[in-house]
Amino acid sequence: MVPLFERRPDLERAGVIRVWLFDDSATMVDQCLGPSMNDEVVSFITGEVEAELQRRWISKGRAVRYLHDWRSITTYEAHGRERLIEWGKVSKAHTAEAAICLSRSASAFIRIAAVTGVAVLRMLRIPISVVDDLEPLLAPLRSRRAG
Amino acid sequence: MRPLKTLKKLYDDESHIITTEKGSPPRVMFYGEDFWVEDLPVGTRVICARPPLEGVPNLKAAIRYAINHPEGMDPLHALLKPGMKVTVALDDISLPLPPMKTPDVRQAVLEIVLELLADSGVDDVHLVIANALHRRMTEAEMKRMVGQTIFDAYYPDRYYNHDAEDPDGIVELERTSHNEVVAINRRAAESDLVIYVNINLVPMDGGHKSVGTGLTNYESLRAHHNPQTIRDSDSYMEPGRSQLHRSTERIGRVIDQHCKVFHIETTINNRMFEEPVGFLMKKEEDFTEFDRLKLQSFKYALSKMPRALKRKMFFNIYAPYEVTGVFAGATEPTHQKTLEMSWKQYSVPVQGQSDIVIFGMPYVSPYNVNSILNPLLVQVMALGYLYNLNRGVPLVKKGGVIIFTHPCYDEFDPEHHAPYIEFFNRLLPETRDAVKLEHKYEREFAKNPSYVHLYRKGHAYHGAHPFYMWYWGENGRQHVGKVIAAGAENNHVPAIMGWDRTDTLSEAIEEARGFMGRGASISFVKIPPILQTDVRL
Amino acid sequence: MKHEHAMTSPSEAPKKAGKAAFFDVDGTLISTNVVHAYGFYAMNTGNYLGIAKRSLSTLVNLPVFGVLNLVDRKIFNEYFYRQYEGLSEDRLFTLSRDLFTDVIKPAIFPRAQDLIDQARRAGCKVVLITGALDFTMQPLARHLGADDLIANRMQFVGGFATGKVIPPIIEGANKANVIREYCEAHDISLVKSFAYSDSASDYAMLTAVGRPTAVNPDLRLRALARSYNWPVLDLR
Repeated sequence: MVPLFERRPDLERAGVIRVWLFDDSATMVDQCLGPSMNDEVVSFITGEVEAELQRRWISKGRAVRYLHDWRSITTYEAHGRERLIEWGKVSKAHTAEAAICLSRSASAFIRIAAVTGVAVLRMLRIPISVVDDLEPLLAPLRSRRAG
Repeated sequence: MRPLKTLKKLYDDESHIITTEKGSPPRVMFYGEDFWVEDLPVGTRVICARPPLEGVPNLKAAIRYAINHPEGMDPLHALLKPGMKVTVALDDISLPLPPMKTPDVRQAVLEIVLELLADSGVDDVHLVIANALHRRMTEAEMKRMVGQTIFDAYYPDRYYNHDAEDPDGIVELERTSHNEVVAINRRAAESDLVIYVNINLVPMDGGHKSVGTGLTNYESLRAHHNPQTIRDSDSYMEPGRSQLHRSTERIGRVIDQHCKVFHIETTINNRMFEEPVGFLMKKEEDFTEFDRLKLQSFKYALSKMPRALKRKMFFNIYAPYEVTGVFAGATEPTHQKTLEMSWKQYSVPVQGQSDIVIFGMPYVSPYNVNSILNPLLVQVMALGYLYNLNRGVPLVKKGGVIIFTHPCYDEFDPEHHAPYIEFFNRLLPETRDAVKLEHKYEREFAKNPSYVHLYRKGHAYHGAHPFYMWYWGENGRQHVGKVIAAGAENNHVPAIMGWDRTDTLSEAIEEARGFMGRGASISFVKIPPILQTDVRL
Repeated sequence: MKHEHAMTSPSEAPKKAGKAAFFDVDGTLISTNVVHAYGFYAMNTGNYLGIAKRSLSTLVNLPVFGVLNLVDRKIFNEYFYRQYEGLSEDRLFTLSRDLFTDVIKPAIFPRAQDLIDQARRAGCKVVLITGALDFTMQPLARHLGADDLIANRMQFVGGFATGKVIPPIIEGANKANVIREYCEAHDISLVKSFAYSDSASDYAMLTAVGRPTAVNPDLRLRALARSYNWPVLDLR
């Protein structure tokens, strides 16, 4: 799968997930590589990635933008999904924006699961949405990088 | 407030009975949320209450004396041990009527008792309102009853309403010798000591009726709150002659074997009204010009107000009762003292019964404080309370006529009286037979999950309560030949109840005379203030 | 529908032993706001259903919850069902479990369980009756301890959902017919049974039983309850 950015990911689990962090705008971008949103992926995001976010931005009072490229996902584990929602809830205070990108051809199964989770977070007034194109949000990050 | 001595003079001890003559003043009587001022036929016997007894000079001292010198039990302080579990049960808002001015006597008793408990190292204390199947009291009412300080310290975890439908909140004890179910509040049953704080308004209340009726459930109440028991009770106000009280006594004795209950009973005088409605406490013969003026302006103001506002206004009139006695100790000897004091205030000797008895019907009954006196409650007032306010025999002759003055509006409070609405509209048109109603519908209403829910979570009377209201009127219904609702504003409420109606009191009296004969004797019972006739034949 | 049931007045019904309590779900036992907020968002998100493009900036500021109530629930439901097309049964099971944990469970009214427990203590069979799909409601039925669930059933062909509902669709007046048939089949007396709903659209169902109750009623149902002397409860 083609990496989203040319530069090396800041955090990575080979064959599973890549994560880039952009200090200017306090943005984290992750790209899932495998087909399943399983415990391994969730643990990585809510563990290592979260720790890094805490260190870099959250502890300094900065609100984070979360851009998730989950186009490869075709299935999930219920437990992992619940942990992600829980993570979304506790991150409420320092979430500037969050977007989840699913494949245009994603099954109803994965869409319903995502939309349900997102709906719950939105009801808690967390600014999160499901999109089917992340490019408009990624482009500024690339150009700034290029500039 | 007029000093007691003056009032006493006004009420010559021999003058509770007035016989109407030519030139007698018209009588003031309640007509729901209004007053009627009516001339009564010459020869009508007007029965008035005794003047208010003098209150105890120092209430706190009287309470302390009572709990230190109890009847048939050790003093309260001697019963207390550090670390013990105590439940204090309180009479609910149905007593007294109208509700008394703050501080409520229950607050006064609690202030002393709770301090004593704290000083004795008793910390596990709950205050439980013994509301039985009555509606739960609201937060504001609960605060008013015990005062801000106690409320803040105990509400809501340690000061709450009894819940007769809590499946985990009731303990069933062994049955009585008559196979009556004995069930009481679990917290009370599991306490090392129960202290019952009672207000005695009429001799029907208190004694074994306190815990056994106030802290129990539907299954146990069924033993005595049923048409047969009511029919077998000659006089509810005279515990010795009432099947109802025999049953509650049996139940109470079982409870006394299992729980240590320390009763604190209080009696109050009948000072129900003060200025600006102090004229309600007087005989019309004693009215001053100023009293008549106040009455007229009051009547005028009421005529301009919508009914809901009138209700609100009346429920903001609190009674300046004074405590006449505090008695404490074991159930029976304590209650004996209470009864003596109660009779002293309420009993009015009357020579002979009457063919026709007239009552002015007030806006309030024990079951509609801060609510509406709906048709079923009008019934319980006429044929339950007012009819039964006697010792010995009823004031009205067998087959006689009761006339009361009330608009009989078809209004129900859907929050407080939800099951009443169905009872009135669905059951009464089918039958007025109490036994049939009991067998066919009582259990269904009592178990209806909606009514159970409204009782437990809202502020509704229990599903069985409208039945109790109907049974209450049973002896009156069996005894009288006719009931006339004077001033009933519709036809259907009296029709469903089985009463006649007239527009005015004089028409009602005419009709009653037509029924009983021209020479029929008439009594008018001037209530409030409350009284009980002691009829000698 | 068996027409003769509709013609039989409750008092003429033959003697039956049992009794049941029928509970509408949406708005009666669980908050309509939460579920509709979810539904509205779901319907309007991306190509989730392909009906509307993502047009909402914020879900939570919507004044439409009220409006949604006015939309015919039948249409609402039918749109909603289509999203499940092509899913296998086990995946639907997973989704319904998620839906329950995320959306439905937090939306249960605080006193709903009490009322259901009281109905059971009164000797009633507890039955949920709802226009939602059965698999989405099963976890709720289990959670509340219901004996039975009457809900719309999705059609499956070869183990996959077709997105269509097996008729008759359970909504409005049909609920009354379904209840009558249920009582017939389970030896339950309609007269002795209870029904609970929040909406005047369930008027037929409420009048079918002997003991109807309005729960958190809308204005129309509140007025109906007043005129028919039905008890009014608040589970919120």
